[in-house]
Amino acid sequence: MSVRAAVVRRMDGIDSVRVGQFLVPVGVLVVWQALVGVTSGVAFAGPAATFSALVGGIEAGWLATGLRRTMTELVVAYVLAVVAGLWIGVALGSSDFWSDVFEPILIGTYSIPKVTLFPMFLFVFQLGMDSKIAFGWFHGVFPVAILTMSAMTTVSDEHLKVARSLRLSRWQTFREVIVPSILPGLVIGLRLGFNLTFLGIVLGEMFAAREGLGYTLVEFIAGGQIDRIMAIIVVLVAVAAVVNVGFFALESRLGARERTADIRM
Amino acid sequence: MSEGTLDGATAGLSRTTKVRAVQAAVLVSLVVSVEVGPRTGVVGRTTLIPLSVMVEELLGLLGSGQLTPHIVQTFAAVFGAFALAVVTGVPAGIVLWRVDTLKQVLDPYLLIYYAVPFFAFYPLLISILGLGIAPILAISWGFSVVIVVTNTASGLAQIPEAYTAAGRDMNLSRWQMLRYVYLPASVPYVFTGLKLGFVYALIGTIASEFILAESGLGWLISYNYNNFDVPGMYAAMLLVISLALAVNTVLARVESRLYQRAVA
Repeated sequence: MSVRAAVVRRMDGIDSVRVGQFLVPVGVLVVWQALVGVTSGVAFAGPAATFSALVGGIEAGWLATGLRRTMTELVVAYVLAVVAGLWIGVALGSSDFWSDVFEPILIGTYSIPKVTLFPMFLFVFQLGMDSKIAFGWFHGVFPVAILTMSAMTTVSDEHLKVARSLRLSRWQTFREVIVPSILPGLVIGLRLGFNLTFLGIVLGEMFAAREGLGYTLVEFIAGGQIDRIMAIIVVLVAVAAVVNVGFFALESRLGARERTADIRM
Repeated sequence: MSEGTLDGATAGLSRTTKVRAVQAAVLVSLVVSVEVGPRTGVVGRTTLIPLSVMVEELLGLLGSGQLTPHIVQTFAAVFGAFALAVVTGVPAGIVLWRVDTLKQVLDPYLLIYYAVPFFAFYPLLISILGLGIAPILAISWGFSVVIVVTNTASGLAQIPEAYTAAGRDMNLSRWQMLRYVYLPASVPYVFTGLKLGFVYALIGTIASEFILAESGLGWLISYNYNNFDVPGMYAAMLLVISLALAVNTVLARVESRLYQRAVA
C-alpha cells in the first residue's frame, strides 16, 4: 500500500469514526422502532410511546418524585462511599505491608454477588432510605478503595520526605502531595464507584422499597405498563451517560489512560 | 552485593509469610465473629445467626434434596447464559479486532455499557418474555457478553509483533494465521474475558432471581427473607457466596497458569 493511500485511508478512518459514533444512537432508535413492527400484538412500546410516557410521567409527577428519591439516595451513598473509600485506600496504601495484606481480601469481597447480602442490610437499616443508601455505599466503596490503594504506589517517597521536612500536617500532606499524585488513578475509581453505587441503589429499590425509580419499575410489571418501564429506563440510562461522559472528559484531561469497563457487584 | 541480595531474599520470604499470616488472621477473625457475635448476643439473632447454624441448616437442606431443583435452575441459567455469551461474544470480539474503525466507533459505547444500572432492563424483559428462565437468560447474557467481546478484542490486539511476522514469513493463509497464531497466542487474554464473563453471568442470574423469579438460589434467599425463615435464608446465602468464591478461586488459578505458560 502506498503512503498516500495509507494517509487517505487514515483520514477516511477518522471521519467514518465520527460519523459512525453519531450514527450509533440513530441506529438504536431505528432498531427500537423496527421492533415495534415485529412485536405487534405483544406488549411493547416504541420510541414515540416511551417519549409520551416520559412527558406524562413528569407532568403527573410520579417520574419526578421517583427520580428525586433515587437521586437523593444515590448522592448520599456516593459521597459516603468516596469518603470511606478514599480513607481506606490512603490508609492501607501508605503501607506496603498492609496493602499486600488487604488487596486480595478487598478484591475477593469485590467479586462475590453482593446482592445476596441485601437482606442483612434490611435487617439492620429497615425498609426506608437508609437500607438503600447503605447498600449503594457497600457497592461503591470497593472500587474507590481498591483503585485509591493501587494509585498510592505512584506517590513518590521523595515527595513524602519533602512534606515531612516541611512539617506539613496530615491533611496538608493529603491535599498537597497525595491527591495530586493519585488523581489519574483515583478518577477511574470514582467513576466505577459511582456506577456501582447507582446499581446498588436501583437493585435495592427493586427488591424492597416503597418509593424510587427501582420500586416503580417493578410496580409497573404487574400493570403491564411497558411504556412507563421504558421511560424509567431512558431516565436511568441518561443519568448514567451524562455522569460518565463527564468522568471521561475529566479522565482524559488528567491523562488517565487505562480505561477499564470491568465492574463487579 | 551478593550479601545484599541474599538479605533481600530472606527478608522478602519472611515478609511473604507475615503477609499470609496476617491475612489468615483477618479471615479467621471474620469467621469467628460471625460465629461468636450472634452467640454472645452482640448481634441480635434476628439479624445474624452463628455460622455453625448456617452450615448445619445448609447441610440438612442439601441432604434432604430440597435445594436440588434450585441448584439445577440456577446452574442451567448461569451456564446457558455463559455459553450464549461465548458463542456470540468471541466472534464479535474477533470482528471488532479485525475492523478497527468499528472498534473506534463502538469504544465509547462499550465503556458506557456497564455504567447503566443493568437490572433496570429486567422488568422490561419479564413484561415481554414472561416470568421464567427466558428473561434471566437474556439479562445474564447481556450482562456477560460485552466483557467477553472487549477482552477478546483487546487480547488479540496484544499479540507480539514477532508472532505475526513469523506466521507471515511462513506464508500462512488468513485462516491459518487465525488458527495457528492469533488464537493460541491470545488464549490467556481471552481467558480473562471468559473468567469475568462467567462471574458476570453468575451475578446476573443470582440478582435477577433475587428480584423476581419462581425458583433458583437467588429466589430462595428472597423467598426465605419474605417468609421470615432466617436460617434457610442464611443457608442459601452461604451456598451462593461459597460457590462464587470457589468459582473465582479456580478460574483465577487457571488464569495465572495460562499467563505463566504464555511467558515461558
